[in-house]
Amino acid sequence: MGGSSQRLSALLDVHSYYSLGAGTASPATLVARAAALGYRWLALTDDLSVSGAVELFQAARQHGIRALIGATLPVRIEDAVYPFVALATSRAGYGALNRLISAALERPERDLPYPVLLSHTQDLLLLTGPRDGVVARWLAERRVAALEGLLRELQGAFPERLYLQLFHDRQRWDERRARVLRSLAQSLGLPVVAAPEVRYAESKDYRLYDALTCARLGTSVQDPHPRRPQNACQALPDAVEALDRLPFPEAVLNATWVAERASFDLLPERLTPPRARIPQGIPPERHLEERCYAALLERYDGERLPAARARLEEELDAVRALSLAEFFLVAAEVTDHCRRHGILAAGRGSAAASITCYLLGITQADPVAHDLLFERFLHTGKTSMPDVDIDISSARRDEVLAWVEERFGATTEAMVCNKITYRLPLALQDLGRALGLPPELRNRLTRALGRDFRGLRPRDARRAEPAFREVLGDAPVGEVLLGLLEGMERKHVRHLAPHNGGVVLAREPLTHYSPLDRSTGGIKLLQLDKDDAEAMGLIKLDLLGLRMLAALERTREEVLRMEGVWLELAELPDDERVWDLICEGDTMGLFQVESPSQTHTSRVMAARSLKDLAHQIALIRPGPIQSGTVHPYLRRRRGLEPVSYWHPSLEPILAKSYGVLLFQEDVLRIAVHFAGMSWIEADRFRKKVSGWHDLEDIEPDRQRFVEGGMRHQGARREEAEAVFEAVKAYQGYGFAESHAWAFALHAYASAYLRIHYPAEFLAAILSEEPGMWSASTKRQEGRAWGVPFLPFDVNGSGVHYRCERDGHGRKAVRPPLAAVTGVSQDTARALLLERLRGGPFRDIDDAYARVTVERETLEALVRAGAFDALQPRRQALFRLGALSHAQPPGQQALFAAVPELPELPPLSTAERFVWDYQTTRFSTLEMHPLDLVRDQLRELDALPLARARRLPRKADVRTAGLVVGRQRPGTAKGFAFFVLEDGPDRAQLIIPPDLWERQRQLLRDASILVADAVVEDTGHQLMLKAVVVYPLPTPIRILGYHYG
Amino acid sequence: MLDRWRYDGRWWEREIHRDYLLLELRGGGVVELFREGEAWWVARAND
Repeated sequence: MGGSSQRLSALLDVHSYYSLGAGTASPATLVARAAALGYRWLALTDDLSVSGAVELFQAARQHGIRALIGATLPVRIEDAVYPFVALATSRAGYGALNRLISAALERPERDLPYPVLLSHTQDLLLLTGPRDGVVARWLAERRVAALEGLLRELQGAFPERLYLQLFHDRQRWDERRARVLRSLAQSLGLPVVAAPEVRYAESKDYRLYDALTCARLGTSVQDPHPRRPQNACQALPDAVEALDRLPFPEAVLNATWVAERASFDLLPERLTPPRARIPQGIPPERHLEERCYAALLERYDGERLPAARARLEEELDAVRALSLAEFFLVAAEVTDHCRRHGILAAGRGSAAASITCYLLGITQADPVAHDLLFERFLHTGKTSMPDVDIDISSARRDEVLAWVEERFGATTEAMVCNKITYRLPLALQDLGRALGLPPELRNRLTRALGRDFRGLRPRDARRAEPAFREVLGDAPVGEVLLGLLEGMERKHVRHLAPHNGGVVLAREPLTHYSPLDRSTGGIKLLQLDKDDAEAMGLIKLDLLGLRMLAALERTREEVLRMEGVWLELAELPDDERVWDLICEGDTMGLFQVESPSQTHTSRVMAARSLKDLAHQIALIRPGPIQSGTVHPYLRRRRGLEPVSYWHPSLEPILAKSYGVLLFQEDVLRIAVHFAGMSWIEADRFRKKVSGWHDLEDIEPDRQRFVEGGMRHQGARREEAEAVFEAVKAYQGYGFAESHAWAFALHAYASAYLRIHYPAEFLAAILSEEPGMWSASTKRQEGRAWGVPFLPFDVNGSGVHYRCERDGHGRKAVRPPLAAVTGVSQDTARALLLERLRGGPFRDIDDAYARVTVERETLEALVRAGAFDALQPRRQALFRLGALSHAQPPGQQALFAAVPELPELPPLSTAERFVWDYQTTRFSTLEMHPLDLVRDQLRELDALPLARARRLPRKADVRTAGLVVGRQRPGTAKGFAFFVLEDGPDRAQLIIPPDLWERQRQLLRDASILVADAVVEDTGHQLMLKAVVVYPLPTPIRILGYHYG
Repeated sequence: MLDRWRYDGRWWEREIHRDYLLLELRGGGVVELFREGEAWWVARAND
């Protein structure tokens, strides 16, 4: 025996957290630990999953060990399920493995029938499984003959590829069992392999593994369970430990032999675009060129044509070199389909800055006119995916996805997944349950986290210690729980969920890359997320539903119905009134610029062009905010401070944004032109800049960057350091320039429609719910726009908000029955259909008899006023109560068994208003919730917001409002921003950190706030800084928005 | 020695780390021992 047989060099049965509750470590951690212990191979064999495959191979490259990919398959034999470990020996084997996993995931039991295992054996090695595998269990059951028969059958199906797995976790009888298994293998001529089952990286992780196991089994740590671990021996064993447990030279040697056979490289270098629909006999590149050149002549003329042509030629050269013609043609097929079917769709993303995309009609922003950066996809395309996101009207996105599946085929199209990682609340629930905390206590603890701590990663749980003390006091379980949480990896994956819009299209069946699963919503899903898909060379299109596009579509339809005019939204004229509206800060309902911070910025920015609007949209984002871009940009734009650059070479890049970093492309251009990076390096650097959390993530790049700037541009060290600091601070999300342009176009359209067709636009944004504001606030805003509301009417309201003429001929908004709480769209539709079939409802009796609707639903409709035109609400409720006792809904009464109607007082206006809010969260009356407490506010000497707006800056004021928005962004250094509303007037209330701490519960819960404050800014949006706040009780509760 | 195993339990209360041995004695008796810390204990004895 050679030296290698003296130590175990390969670990062949290792589980990461992608075994979902049955592993604690990331593939990267496992690889790092294995490398540190001197292993040469590591096989990831998660339960029915290859989700960790890409991370495994990437980490293995970094640590200089070889990655092997496999999975643990639960195989059903007779009435029981036994784990087998399958390892792929080639790309074809990996595909076979994925097909086996997919077959198991298709079944409700999520196991693999034994005959199916035997039918997909290509290029797979099979290990017989660990402790609860068939060998150990049938031996324990003394089914030796049956076991021998089974193993012989498996040997036939996997010739020279079947190994009897020897395992040893230092549990009772493991020693003897290992010897017995070895003897059995010898008698059958079956090779043995040393393959201890690994579930965590180090022995200290055993507690977390045990707790997660209890959570998964639905038991608590106090309850013994046969499937719980008994000791900490499922960590990666060091060499001495491994040999001590399994001192069988041939088994150890076979581990090396198996590893050598199962070694192949999973990660390709080349991109593999899907098959586009092309006229026969024409190569894809030529078809792409023909389309682009035809469009070039239509869109560019005279002076602009030469520059556009030169750019197109450069791009087409790159597209040819990277074989990406079909990628662009496929993206164009999607937008062509949308256009043909009247579905609003607009492309954006890095490749969307290309003239190719513009000429194909994928994007609307002219990249030549706006000087958009296209080098990114051209130069990085070899190893990095081009990026095309297509925003689609949210109302019709499912239709587009269904078409994509039909067009590209069931096996070659699926969505990428989102890997949902633990945040503190969910970790508390899972681990708290394992520690025996009852649900009420767990829920109290989760609530006590509040907004301050609920976004924390579990390993930072110690920061939320006050919340733990508040609920658990000094009980030892608190410390145990904190210890478990702190032991979790930062991105511990809990489960996989569908991604919002990432659709993968491939040439081959997708099982070549990943197993296929179905989400609970029936969506076909890969086990790869978008980064994994990119690493595998798969092309992804993001097809995202945008509610504002649905709102614009709906407005267009309403305008056609009301005015007979068809609006071409891509060709709206330039209208000064649009810019006046935006400059005034009167931006409610406008896309991307209606938040309080954007409203304030609108007034300062004074945008008068699409370019200004694109900049404004990009400005209020974490990237620019963190890098201190916002105030310098605005001050320099207004001439209040001089434009300066950290180094003169940055002027061509940053001149258009007054010397500050605004777009992702600015970071890219600086990395290339200042620091001398290649475009590929620059793109990696840009991703790091936007994603770093700890200094150790980004600091290693400092030296390269600074020295690059000194060498490439002759900058002094302090200049280069200053540039690096500015770039480093651009942390978090920042817009791509093409993205901001695409959004500016939608923002302009929304403003134009609001000005010219306010009633239709209001109906549309209430139906499609884009943006952040509640229906209640939008309804109040409608009062300022001069758009009246018609009441709910069981004989007039439908399923969506609609525009109608009121009794005075004015365009008004009719709210739908589906806006009443508890009334679904299906129920509203049923009422509408019955109305069409049998004529208007005469009264509540008639409706009750004709439609099978739950009593509670009809009651909600009555309370919302839907029957007000037919009978008073109290009478209708009384009738309804009596009817529901006499007969079921949807049936005519046989006998008039309903009692006489007593005298009931009519609802007062205030009562009606409260009932409206309780059932629909707004009222069609021309009132506001503060009207109910006006007298109290006068007693408190609180000034209405409309009058407070006229006070000078720095004035003290007491005022009040309904809280319609709460926000406490992470970038705001502890400040909270509330929005108070009084009728159509709103004010932003800034809550300093010390006030937030003192009055946190009140601020969290109050609906109406009275505030003593100082005026910070006036104008269309009042801005106040709170000094003290007081609650005012009200029966009205508003949902509002809550962010951060 | 007939068997040996390890038990790491009750980590949420007080940590227990025990190495167990199952020994067959001359004369046919079987005894189960465990070591916790520095001390050895007899868990079970059969004759």
